[in-house]
Amino acid sequence: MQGVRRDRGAALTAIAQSAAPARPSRIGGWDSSWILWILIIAVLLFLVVSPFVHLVLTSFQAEKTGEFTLKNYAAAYGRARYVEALFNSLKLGAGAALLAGALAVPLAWGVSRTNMPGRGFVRMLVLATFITPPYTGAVAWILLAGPNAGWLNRIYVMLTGAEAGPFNIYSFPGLVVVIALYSFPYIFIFTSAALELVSSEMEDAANILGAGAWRTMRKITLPLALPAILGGLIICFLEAIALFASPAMIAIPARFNVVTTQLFQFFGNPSRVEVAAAYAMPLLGVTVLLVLVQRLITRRKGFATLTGKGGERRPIDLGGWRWAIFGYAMLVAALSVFLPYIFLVQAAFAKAWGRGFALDNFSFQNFHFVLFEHATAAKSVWNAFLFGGAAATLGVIITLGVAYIVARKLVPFAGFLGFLCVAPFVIPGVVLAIGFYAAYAPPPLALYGTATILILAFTTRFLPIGYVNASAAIRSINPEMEEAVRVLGGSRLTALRRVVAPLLKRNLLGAWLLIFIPATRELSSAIFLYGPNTKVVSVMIFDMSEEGNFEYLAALALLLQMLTLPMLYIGQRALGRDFMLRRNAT
Amino acid sequence: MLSYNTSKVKAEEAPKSWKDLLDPKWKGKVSTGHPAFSGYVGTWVYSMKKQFGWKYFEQLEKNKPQIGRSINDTVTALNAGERQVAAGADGSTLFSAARGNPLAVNYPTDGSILIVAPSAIVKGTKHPNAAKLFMEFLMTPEASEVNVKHFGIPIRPEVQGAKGTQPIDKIKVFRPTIAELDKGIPEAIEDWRDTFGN
Repeated sequence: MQGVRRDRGAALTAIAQSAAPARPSRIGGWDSSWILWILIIAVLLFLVVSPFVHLVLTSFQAEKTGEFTLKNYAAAYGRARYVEALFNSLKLGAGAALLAGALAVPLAWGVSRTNMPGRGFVRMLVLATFITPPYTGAVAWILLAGPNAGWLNRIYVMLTGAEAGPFNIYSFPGLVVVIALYSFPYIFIFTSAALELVSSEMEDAANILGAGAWRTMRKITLPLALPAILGGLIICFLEAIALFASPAMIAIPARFNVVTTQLFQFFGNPSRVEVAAAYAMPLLGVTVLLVLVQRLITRRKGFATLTGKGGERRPIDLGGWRWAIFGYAMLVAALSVFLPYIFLVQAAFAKAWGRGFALDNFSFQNFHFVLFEHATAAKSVWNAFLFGGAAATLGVIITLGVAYIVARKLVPFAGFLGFLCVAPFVIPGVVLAIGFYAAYAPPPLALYGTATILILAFTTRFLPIGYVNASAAIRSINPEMEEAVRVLGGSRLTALRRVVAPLLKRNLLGAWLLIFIPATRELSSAIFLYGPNTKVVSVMIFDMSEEGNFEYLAALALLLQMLTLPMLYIGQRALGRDFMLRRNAT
Repeated sequence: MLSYNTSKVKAEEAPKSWKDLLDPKWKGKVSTGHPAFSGYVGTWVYSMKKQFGWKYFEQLEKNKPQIGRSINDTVTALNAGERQVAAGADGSTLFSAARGNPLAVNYPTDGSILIVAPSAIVKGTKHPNAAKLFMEFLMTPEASEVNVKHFGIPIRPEVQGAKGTQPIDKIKVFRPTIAELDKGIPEAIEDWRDTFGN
């Protein structure tokens, strides 16, 4: 608060000084900032509307001639295999979401409502899971649960003397587990946010009427948090059906396809973008529908306790059970963090990972190779951070502008601009990439494979995160201060630049990081758009997964994680420990 | 060509021909790539189909191969001990073997698949002479030596091949034409999906 006040003071003084000389008069209410507004609208049309329109149009166009046709749809759904892949995705989404719920809800309850030991530690582990890219998790689990060579199977065989171990990552359940393990933080975030708002008085009432801790949780606490849990489950479902890398690494050897791997094949050689566009429609449709449902559920105002004034919130004393739930949390953490990272680190420092933990197997060679010898690995890291940084900067500027327009109702239909900013949330990364490809790969722009198309696609993909944060921040500012600027003759742009932005610099830094961190590891849209000189680290890691060398891959994946740590540190210093695990982070 | 994990399979037991991969003793032990993800694998699948008919793959399916994407996925599967024998590529396998991994290759007696990397000059290029010089360079012993460093097969007889490779005139090769592959691979991919399910 102190800091904020000081910033405000400084900003106002700065304005007073710079705005003192009278500004030239404006003509008929025409404000130079209008140019900016028009620019922002144009940018949103370019980033959001045009790729979407192109996606839909392309799905109805014949290859080369561009005539109207329904043939693409016939080709996309004409084979039982292709339709089957659609259903596989739905099953995968449902399975992963339910399992993730079972992992996340007890943890969220334990952390936010009880006296479970090590609550901060558990939060930290959830964060560690959250920042592990799904493809890194998938590779780690191939090391752990490969049917013959996986460590879990080898240990099992060693202990029991059995012929073979019980785990097979290359299976439908295997894929469900891997996806659930790395998407449960979404449900955790939603659920713990809701549980923290449930007042203890409600639970006390149940206790007084004779219900024990367990029954209270089941009858009072959980139902109150249910909308949030359902919301989280839906997000998890959508995440699971939109993932590309984990299915590509696991489903192909397991001999089944999902929508995203099938889309990738339509994109392969010979490339059939039109068919891919037609095939992407159900994915898009399901996502739009479920996001609407999710919004309806989580916005329902029926649960008065979740919106009212804060009652007292005491942690529930679980007695001996607190160790049980702590044990469960450690089990989840073992599966999502401890075991995967132990074996990733082993592979990253091994000459050959299959040889295990032996001193003569230890080497720094893999890191040396990816940093200094490999032709493109180091550059791919640099590309990812460069494109991610550019996308985050663009995203923050655009969403700040739009949030400001919307909050101050500066143009007619301002709300529509806000809608455009959050609309990409319903477009899965692969689908967005196909839209960008359809819109900007052909001449005149011919952006395919350029840094520009990747930056623009990343910007669009993470606009919703930027917007949610920027609009929350803007709403916290009283318009008086900008009015002061206007009274002193400053333009709106001056107000935005010298008052609003400085006041919100922490929030904007937060929004920047919340875009930047996922953008540096974004794969599903990059895989369709990169070129030989614009490979990003996620694509590099994905490529390495089929190049026969998990040691290099593990080294590169760990490097990416290590480079993320300073970002997290800055974010936590500026915004508090949980800045990644808040609702507006997702 | 055929590759195998030397710590699990003795040299004399390792498969010597493509047909050997069909032996029931390799059930659950074979690794391949996927023709829809790899041109190498596509060429291999087409060549097998041409030589032995599609029944080759119907029989291979009985051995439940683990299907990766790239042909180099076979290297991963062998290194890990996930699988023991594979339809792989000599370059990436021998490169990995040189790093200390337990791998070796066999040139199949019924014909290694020769995959030629064609080079060409773009019509209307700004620097046609530089391009021609580069094409000349590709034919030199020097270029072959670079190739050998990456475990490719040298096209010049005076350049010694890398450890584990065979000179090209000593091995039996099977070489489909570009036109055959252009038409044949997409068909083979569909056949593959019908047999292997993805």
